[in-house]
Amino acid sequence: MKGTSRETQSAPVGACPPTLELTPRLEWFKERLDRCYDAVFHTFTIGRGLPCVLIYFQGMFDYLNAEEHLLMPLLRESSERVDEPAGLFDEHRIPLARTIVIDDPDEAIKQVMMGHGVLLQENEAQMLVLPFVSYETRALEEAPNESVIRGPREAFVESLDTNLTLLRRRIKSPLLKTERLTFGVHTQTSVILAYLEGTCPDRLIREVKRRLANIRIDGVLGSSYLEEIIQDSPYSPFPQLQYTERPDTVSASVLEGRIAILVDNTPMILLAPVTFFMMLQSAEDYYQPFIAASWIRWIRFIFLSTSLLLPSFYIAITTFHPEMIPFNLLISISSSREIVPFPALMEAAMMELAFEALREASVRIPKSIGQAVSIIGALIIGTAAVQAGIVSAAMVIIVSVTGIASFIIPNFDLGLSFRLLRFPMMLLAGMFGIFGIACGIILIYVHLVNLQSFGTPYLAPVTPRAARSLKDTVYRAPWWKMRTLPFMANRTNRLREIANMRAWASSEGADDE
Amino acid sequence: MTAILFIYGLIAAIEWRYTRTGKHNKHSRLLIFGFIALLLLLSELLYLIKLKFQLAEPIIAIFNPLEKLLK
Amino acid sequence: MQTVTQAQLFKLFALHLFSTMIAFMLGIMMQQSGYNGPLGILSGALIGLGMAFFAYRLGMRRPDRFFVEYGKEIVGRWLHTPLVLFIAVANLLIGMINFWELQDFLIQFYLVSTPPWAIAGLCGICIAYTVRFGVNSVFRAAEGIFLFSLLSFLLIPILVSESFNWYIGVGLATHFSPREAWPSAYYTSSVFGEMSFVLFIYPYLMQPHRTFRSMSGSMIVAAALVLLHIVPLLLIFGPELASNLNYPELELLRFMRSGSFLETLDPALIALWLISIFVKLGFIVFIISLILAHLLKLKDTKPFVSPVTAFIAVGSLVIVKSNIQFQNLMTGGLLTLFFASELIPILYYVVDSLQAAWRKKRKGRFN
Repeated sequence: MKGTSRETQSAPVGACPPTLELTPRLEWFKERLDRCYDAVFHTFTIGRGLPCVLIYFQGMFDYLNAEEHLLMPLLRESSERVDEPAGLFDEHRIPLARTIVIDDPDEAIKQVMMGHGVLLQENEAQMLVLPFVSYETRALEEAPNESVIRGPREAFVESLDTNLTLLRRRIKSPLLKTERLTFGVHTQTSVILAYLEGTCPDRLIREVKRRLANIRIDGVLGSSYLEEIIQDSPYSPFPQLQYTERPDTVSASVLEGRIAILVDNTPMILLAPVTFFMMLQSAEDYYQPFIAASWIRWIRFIFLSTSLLLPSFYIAITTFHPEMIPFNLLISISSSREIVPFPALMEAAMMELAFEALREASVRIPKSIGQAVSIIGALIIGTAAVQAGIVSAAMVIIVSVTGIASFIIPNFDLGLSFRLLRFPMMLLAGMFGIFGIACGIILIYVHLVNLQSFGTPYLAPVTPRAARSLKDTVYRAPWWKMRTLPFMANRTNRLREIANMRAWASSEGADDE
Repeated sequence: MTAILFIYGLIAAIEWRYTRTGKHNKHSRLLIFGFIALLLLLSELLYLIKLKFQLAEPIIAIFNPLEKLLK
Repeated sequence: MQTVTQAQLFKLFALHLFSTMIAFMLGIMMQQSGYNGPLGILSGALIGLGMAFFAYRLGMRRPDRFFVEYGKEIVGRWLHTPLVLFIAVANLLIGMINFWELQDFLIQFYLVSTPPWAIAGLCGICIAYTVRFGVNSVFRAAEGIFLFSLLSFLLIPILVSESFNWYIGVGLATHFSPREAWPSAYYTSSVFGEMSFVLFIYPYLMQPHRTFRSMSGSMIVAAALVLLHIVPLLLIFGPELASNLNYPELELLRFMRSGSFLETLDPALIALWLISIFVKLGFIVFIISLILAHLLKLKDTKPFVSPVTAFIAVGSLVIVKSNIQFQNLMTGGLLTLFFASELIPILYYVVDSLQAAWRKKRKGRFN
């Protein structure tokens, strides 16, 4: 699983000499770390001339800390008690917690690579690992892609330890298990599986591990590396794992029996399994009043279908079924379309493509000129195109509404897949009208029905139906009614809260008397 | 004519890929592709003689008297 | 194996019964029965359910085995194979005529210059895609759209209610003639009797003992919906005009557009309705593939789905020459063929019961 065997095979240097003398071993380490400018070999003696060497990488190892808490006491001690033959490993003499003792030189190299220091001593096969990692990390910031109004502001950062702390701070339970795995022959990226024991089904944990077990790759630089390998249907346009940068979202998911995959150096945490309706939930839903949140959900459902279907409906109706448009509207639409030289399909495809380009451009260009581009794109090009008679005003409205609709979807990936599917839908509508749209819908629908995310049907709890889980799907039930966990949670452990938390409302208050 | 052939060819290709990955042995593959070939022949035949003969005719001939009897 | 819930079965059968019944069959009903159409539909639905009851009883005797496999133990291999093939052919024909009606209707109303083969091809792709994923795909698809479909079909009578000519309603009350209602009942029962094909999917069902309850539920929902559509048709068009329309229900949909704001609702309704029909056809294609696979002693139905769908699509293009021949076919024998195929489970049930009784008797004699 950890890909260590290949790394040792590919090492250009032979095995470490099996001796207790320091010098040949040091030579071996130096050879391994040859031409590594940032490798430091700090040699010193303790006790009665007992040579030691501390190996670490400059910039990654907290040298000052080690000096203060390890080297200074050691040296002081050795100057005080010169008569005693000192050894680092003889007794529990190291005044530090969290030190590890190893005796495998290859493992020592790995530890050095991770930013730890390794202490070697003459006449001693064992080595001391000093895990004082210190490198620059980003401070906690507000979640840039999933901002909320009432919820917490913290977002994950690139450091795995920090991220894990963020999670642990929220779920203070020994049942929160965090298992560490390593991927990437060269990157040695740490990956942590976090789940709530008892709530998360064992089947799910086993399945995630089974899928991860197959990975042998040179490097893992982001969670999406793993995502593509472990998702069920890689050729589906729909995302089958959720990602988030919000610790509260991850905590809520873990509490509901899902499994979180934290990857080092990524602020994006993967959540499995995911269903279609989970991706239409936003963290905000749980912080706003439940009535407002339910209403917002309905808005999302409506605009989800709008973002997929509006342009195709427009094409189908103007091309095939103009009699369906109310007469007055028909007049205004056809008068605006009168000067347009293209068929509706062409017009729509052009505009949608332009919109996609605009969107992509506004993500990629530097922030300072981003605003200019969006203003130019949206206002000037749109207005000019209408005035020049290249597109109709109605089409500009359709495309803008569709564009807004596609940004209402909280999950970016889901929005992306719907934006992608909009184009084949438009083509079908241009060829077969309403009938084409119906065919397109059923193809997408059947695809979704059969899609699974780690064994969980994608359209659950609507189909297959899980009536109890609907309370957090089509609407957001008030907290005192969220009695059970959703269907993903372990069957035996689904109770979330006591039955009548609002019992006070029916019993008379003390001061009423 | 050609379109029917093309469609069945496409189906055969898809099923060929599927049966190779699946748990199908030679015998079942033979049955499946024999069945596809049979349907292809039937389709082509029905299509060729569509002006002289429609499937509706024998149905009416056999079942209409029966239906008259029941009504 | 047991993956289809009873709720899914109920929803699929309800969709199965009312979608094509409302869209395609109402014209014939009114042609044959006029004011007695509703009565015919009610009694036909009951007869159909009665036919399905025998299939249910037969299936319950061996709920974990496939009918195609154990059927030969009841009537013998040489009778079983042709009988089951006959059911497969009947299903093929159901598929073909529904395909034909779909094309005919779409070309008449919405896609005037589109070639039929293009429509048949696209339908075929959708259905094959649905069924190829297996039995769960069909049933789950039905489960997901059931509510939307039901609501849309409930909406139509409400939307047209303003245009009712209530004085026609008198005819509904006064023209009471079981004799006139009989043809409608006959046709309706041949459609509702399609529920007896549940026999083929017994091993997939969860809680098989509740099957009949689900089927009764489907029957009630479907019959009520069909009544909710035929009565408004009678009240708006009257039996004479309605029986002369090919697709009275779709005329009703278009008629609905006399309103102001809701004019644009009907494409949405058509789209939903098309999806319901696709799901229904998906079930039919699945039954055919299942029969063929089991007759050839194969476990896997998947490779049969696309060729069967292609055959239905091609067949729908050549099954009839003209609209007139189609009307002749519908009123002159096709439904009897369906009826006959749905009666086959009863034959098995009777033979099986007789055998069981005989065995018991013989056993008693030996004791």
